[in-house]
Amino acid sequence: MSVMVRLDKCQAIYGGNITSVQSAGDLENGSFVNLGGLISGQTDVYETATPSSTNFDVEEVLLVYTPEVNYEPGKTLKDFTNLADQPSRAYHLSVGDVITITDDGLTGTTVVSEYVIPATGSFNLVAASSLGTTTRMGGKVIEKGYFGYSGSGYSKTACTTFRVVKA
Amino acid sequence: MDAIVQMALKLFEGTRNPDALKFSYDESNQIFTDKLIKDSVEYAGLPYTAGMKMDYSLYTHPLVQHKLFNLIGAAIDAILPKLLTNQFDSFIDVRNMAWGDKLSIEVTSSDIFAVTKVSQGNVNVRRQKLDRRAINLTPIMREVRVYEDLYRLLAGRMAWGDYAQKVALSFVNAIQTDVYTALYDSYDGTESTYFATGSFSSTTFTTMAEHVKAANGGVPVVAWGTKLALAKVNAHTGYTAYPGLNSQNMLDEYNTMGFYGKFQGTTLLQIDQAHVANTDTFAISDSFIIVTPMGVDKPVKLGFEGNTIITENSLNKNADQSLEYTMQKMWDTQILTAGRYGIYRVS
Repeated sequence: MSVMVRLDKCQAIYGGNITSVQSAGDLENGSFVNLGGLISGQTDVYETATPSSTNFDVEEVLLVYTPEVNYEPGKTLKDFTNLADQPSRAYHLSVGDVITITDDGLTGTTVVSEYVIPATGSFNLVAASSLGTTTRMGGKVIEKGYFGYSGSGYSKTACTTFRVVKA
Repeated sequence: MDAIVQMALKLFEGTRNPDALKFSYDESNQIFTDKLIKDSVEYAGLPYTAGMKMDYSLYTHPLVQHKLFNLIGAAIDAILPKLLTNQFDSFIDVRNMAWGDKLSIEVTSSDIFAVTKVSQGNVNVRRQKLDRRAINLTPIMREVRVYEDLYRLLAGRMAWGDYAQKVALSFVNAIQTDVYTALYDSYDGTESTYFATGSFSSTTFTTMAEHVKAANGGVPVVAWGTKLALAKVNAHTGYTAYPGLNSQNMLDEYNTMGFYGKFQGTTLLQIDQAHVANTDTFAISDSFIIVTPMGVDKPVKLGFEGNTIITENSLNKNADQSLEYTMQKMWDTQILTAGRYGIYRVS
């Protein structure tokens, strides 16, 4: 099963601050990536780079979220993964954006009123009790709920909704 | 009424009662969708062919979009009050006001005057008067906004019309929850005559029913609750205890409906249970029984301010090619009635 994303509120939807990114491996929706260099021969597609504590404070983190369309019939939101070496849509974040991600796309257990921050060597945000001072990006968890279905389609998937407080 | 609106109404009734539909629900839904497309395409002066699908060029045609959007909006405005009155009809008094208007509701007191004995040749007795009761409704704007990516729409991975219908249903659910909450919390623990808690007692129940009847000038009273709540209105435990008092007819009734049709002369009526949005939690407490007089002023005043506002963003307005559909409605619910009603929270 793949990670599911719901973009509750996001400046980039209207402001248009959206970038195409491409990764050497499959990329889940709900990945938080740094931007690498331009893909050779393209003007608007960037390599993804993995967040690292060495540059947490400077590198911008973008949310990967491509429309979930599978070519096979009978596939739903949970079945979608961005394919390697193909452009995926990535949103630049702004303070005040509200994002919902199923919990399988987050490391650790999120707690309402606590935080999610980037983690070294991972595209997944990690649950943290405090925001800390070292990361440029951070989100505050505002709600825990359910979004979409998992498994055979009957059990709901736990999700976390957070508001971007640093971007 | 527009034919398409009538179809939408039938379809909505079909979600509750599929037997009422001429075709299966899915078939009916398809007929409705086809009709939506046909009307919109013909409105725009384009040739319609059977089985036509909404493709990008149709969606972006301003006339098609305009008509489609208006048809869905009209259908929702027709369906909403209909659905609303199904469930809580006996409790809700619906008022509509214009934008910016304040709705004040006044009802007469349920008190009457005291009559005294007096000597002959004397009209000099104490004068009496009654107050009226009044409330002001202060509506609050409620809103739902949904979105979907254009690519998913074009690829047929979701049906946009479904979302519009769901949004309308969500509003019905929210209004019903408000009505129920207003009723549930309307008495606090200090009210002893018309409010009772605890395990079921037939004496408490019938005493309350008699009080409600007496306070409303002797009109018949009925008791409402969910199936599980009404099941508790039973002087005995289960089916077989005190067989002398449970006739075969009562046992059959209890088994068929889940509760007695009448209890000690008071008719029992079922409120359909619902879920709190996106949960498996019941919206209505299974310990809640309300005893109301029939045909007297309804206790819940529901006021809508202005019309339903429905907005749909035009294609390609959003930078990420997502479509958004927003519905806004303003309402408030308050409890005010000239009559009295009773609430029994049966544990």
